[in-house]
Amino acid sequence: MDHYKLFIDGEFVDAKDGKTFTTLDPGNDQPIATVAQAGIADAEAAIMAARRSFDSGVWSRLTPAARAQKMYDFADQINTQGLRLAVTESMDAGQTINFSKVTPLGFGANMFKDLSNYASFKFPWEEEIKAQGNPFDYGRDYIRREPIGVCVGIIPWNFPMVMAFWKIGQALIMGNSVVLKPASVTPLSALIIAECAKIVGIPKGVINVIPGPGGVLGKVLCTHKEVDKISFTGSTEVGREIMSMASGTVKKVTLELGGKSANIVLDDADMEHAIACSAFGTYFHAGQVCESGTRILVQKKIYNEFVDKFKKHAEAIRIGYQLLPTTHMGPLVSHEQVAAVDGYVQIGKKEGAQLITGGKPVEVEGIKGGCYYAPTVFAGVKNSMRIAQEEIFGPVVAILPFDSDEEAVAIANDSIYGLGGGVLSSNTARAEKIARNVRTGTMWINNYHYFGSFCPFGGYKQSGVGRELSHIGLEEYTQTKRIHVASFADASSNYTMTATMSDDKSLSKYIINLPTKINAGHGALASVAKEVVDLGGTRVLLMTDAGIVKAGLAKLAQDCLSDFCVGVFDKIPQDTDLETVDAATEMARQLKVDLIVSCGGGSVIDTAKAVCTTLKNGGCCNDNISWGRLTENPVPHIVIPTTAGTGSEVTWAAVIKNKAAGRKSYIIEQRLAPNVAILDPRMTMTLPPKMTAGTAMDAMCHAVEALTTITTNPISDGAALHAIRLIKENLPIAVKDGKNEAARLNLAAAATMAGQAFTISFVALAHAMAHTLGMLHGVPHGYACGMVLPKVMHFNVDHATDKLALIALQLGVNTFGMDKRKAALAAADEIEKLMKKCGHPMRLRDVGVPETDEALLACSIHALCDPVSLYNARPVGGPEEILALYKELI
Amino acid sequence: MIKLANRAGAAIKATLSEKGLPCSVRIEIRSTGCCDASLGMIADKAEASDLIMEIDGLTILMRPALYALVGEVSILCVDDPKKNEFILVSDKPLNEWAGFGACNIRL
Ligand SMILES: NC(=O)c1ccc[n+]([C@@H]2O[C@H](COP(=O)([O-])OP(=O)(O)OC[C@H]3O[C@@H](n4cnc5c(N)ncnc54)[C@H](O)[C@@H]3O)[C@@H](O)[C@H]2O)c1
Repeated sequence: MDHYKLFIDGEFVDAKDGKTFTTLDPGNDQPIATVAQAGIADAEAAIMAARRSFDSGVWSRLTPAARAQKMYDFADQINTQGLRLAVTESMDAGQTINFSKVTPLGFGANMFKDLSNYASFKFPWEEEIKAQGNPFDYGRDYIRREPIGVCVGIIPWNFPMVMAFWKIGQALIMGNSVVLKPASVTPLSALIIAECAKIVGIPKGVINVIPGPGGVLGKVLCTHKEVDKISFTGSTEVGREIMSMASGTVKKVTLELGGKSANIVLDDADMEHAIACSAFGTYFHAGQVCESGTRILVQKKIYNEFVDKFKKHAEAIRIGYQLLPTTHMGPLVSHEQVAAVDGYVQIGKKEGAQLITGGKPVEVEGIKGGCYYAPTVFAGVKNSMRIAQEEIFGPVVAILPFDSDEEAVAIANDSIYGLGGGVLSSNTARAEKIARNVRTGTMWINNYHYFGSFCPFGGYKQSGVGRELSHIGLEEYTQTKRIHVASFADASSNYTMTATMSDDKSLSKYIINLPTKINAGHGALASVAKEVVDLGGTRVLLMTDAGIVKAGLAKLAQDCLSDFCVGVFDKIPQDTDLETVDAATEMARQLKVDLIVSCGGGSVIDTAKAVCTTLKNGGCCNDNISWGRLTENPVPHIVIPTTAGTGSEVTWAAVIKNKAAGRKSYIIEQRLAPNVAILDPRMTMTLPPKMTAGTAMDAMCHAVEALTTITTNPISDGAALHAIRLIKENLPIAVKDGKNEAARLNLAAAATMAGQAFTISFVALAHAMAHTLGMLHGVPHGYACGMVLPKVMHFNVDHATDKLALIALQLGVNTFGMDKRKAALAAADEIEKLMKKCGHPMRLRDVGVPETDEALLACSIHALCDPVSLYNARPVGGPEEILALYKELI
Repeated sequence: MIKLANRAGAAIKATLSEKGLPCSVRIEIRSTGCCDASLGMIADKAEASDLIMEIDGLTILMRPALYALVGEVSILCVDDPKKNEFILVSDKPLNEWAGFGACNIRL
């Protein structure tokens, strides 16, 4: 009789205590081999050998491609030993030779090659995180997937060779070392696989195989501190214990446990196929298969016919010795298993189910002994019966009737398990609908027991945790590491660090990304067609609003676009909203637009920006409210601003009202900056004086806030300071004489520069308060900005003194002899003077905001929750501070 | 036929009486899915052919065929008193995992 030894650290060795056991052929009860029986000391030796091999890097640090080359050799050796493996497996585990002879190639060598190849060419070992989803800090982030370490595989006796291939193959392909404990009744194929590994030179310690009693070895394998992962296939009771033992050292665990899968036969199924497929689903390998379809649910209309035919089919199954090619169904694995199966048959009878055929052990002619059991059918089964709820793991099927498809799904789901299942139907759509609703890891339509290297396998509910095979199974054999490389190696560049741990909240980093091309000057509008061409546009949607149409400006733009313009969307309200963006996007999609030209104020430009990102990324506007998420440019966008205020023609932002939430939402993305801004002074000349002042105060507010936020910097300071000067000098002229082209162009330039400044440095409390007045009380954005700005400047005086004093200079205040604080306060006063001079509203009542405590407190809380308030020079303590500022506007 | 260790007998009786059931359990083979079955207990009444053992007011039943297969069964109570679970081991272990996992009484 052959003797098999343990495989530890690259050598075949006897157990340290010399123990052996005999393995039997379940087809005739004859001994087939003696096997060394591992004890605790052997398990520890195997774990440590695996640890050493892993830590040495001899396998774990090979490239996936180098490992793949070795795995291909391993696969070829398995094929070479294919016949020996097949015959041994049949004799050891009772599998019919017709199945075991395809196992080495089909489930071993082929899977090794498939998954090794995938791991070396397609598996994402390293992945750049292009968008981090952190709006505050910058850096490179990437994911590395690394082998886990020492993986323990514990496998059952039903498919010992296949399971050994799965556990060894996946672990090794992903760079791990493995300790495999085969089932004690079926240890041989795993040891032959270890031989193959030795022959092809898999480094010592990478594979260790230790047959031995689970009750003894299980504890050390699941609690040893050098084990990193356990992958167990077996009973739920043992799996539960393994999970709890592994929790002591927090090991990664994947479990593939039991099932009580439903095979659903619909009334439109091809009857002959349904019978054959359901019988295969149940009786393959004598039903000792965890995903077996042992509950056959049959639609009432065809129930009786199905039961009759199924009975005949079951009775025709040829039971025989497993090595005979004529055998359909071989023995169960052991007499204990026969007893377990027979116990359930007795339970079924006692529960009142109708035993249609089988239900007893059988003898096979010419063989003494053996663990054979007749294919058994129960009809009239209720799903609450134990034979419908518990996994029998033998050739026993329960056939249950159902009325509707919904009822079939409900019965299928009424189980603690969720491993496999099937639908038999000639209507694929109907079958797929059912398949989607059954809570189980695999559903086969008009098929059963079909596996593939790239098809994941595993269970819902108490059928397990994790998956085997496919890229998902491979991922289970890796750890995920994120590596972050800060873009600024400086503590004062980390927003969270400074916000929480530092008294100085200002950030030292800044990023300038102002990709917008600017065409400015009298008649610049004419450049729009050339820009369309340069951007590759062929079908342009012109976006504008009713006011712009009325002022005749939309027509000017449309004429310049000539034939490129395939449509005009002009239903944009002041302070745009999600619904408007969605309507415009729909129109753009229908017209197959490839470029957007926006002609209008901030409301139009922001709508267009949101349309550009929604067109590119799909869905509706609300899907595309993002802050630092875009990894690709939106649809190209050319802007023709008609107000000189928002600077939106160059900024990264779009402000969109979410009416349901009662807030303005922001899209803030560097990629949102338009491709081209066309500043043509003629386009702002029609703006009435009061609106000229209001929109300019928006720009003023951008410039002042850009100078005083926590992210302020010299480059944006330069643009902001000059913008302030230009506004101060040109606004009164433009208000007085709207047709003054030079003043209009200077204001346009100022608004654009202020936009550039704040897109780098952000805005702060004044904008938070202004957004609130716009959202809650419909105050035009520019008016709201202007009114609150001087009050916020006062509020910030001790936190941005130098900058505010500089602003005073730009505004032409004679600061000679003033201390800086006084100069800073003078800047705020000067802005108020400018607003008064230009007819800008000064009080809340001027813009229709109720001045009650209740209304203003609501505004204060709303403003505090606006993210831009986080950037204010002086940290905002609470709503009462904002309330005091609003009250100053009464 | 049966050995009750630590507080197993009292715990079994407490579980049964909590549910208003008579103090009688059967030792059975049960499957908890995929491969190895295990010994378990179910609240049940005696049948004609049963082997019956009475210990301190608790009746324990076993079918003769099962007794022949596994021999004497020891019932232990799981250490954690919050868990109403038991470990069953037999003279002739049912399989290599016998005694590894714990079971509760099927009521
Ligand atoms: N994305 C950004 O960076 C940014 C920055 C600041 C403000 N905003 C947003 O911009 C919006 C405000 O934009 P806005 O101040 O430009 O006003 P607007 O776009 O809301 O326009 C206001 C009104 O002025 C009319 N109008 C515009 N130009 C005209 C012209 N030349 N002649 C006659 N009428 C004209 C419009 O038809 C409209 O009725 C707000 O929603 C605000 O939140 C965005």
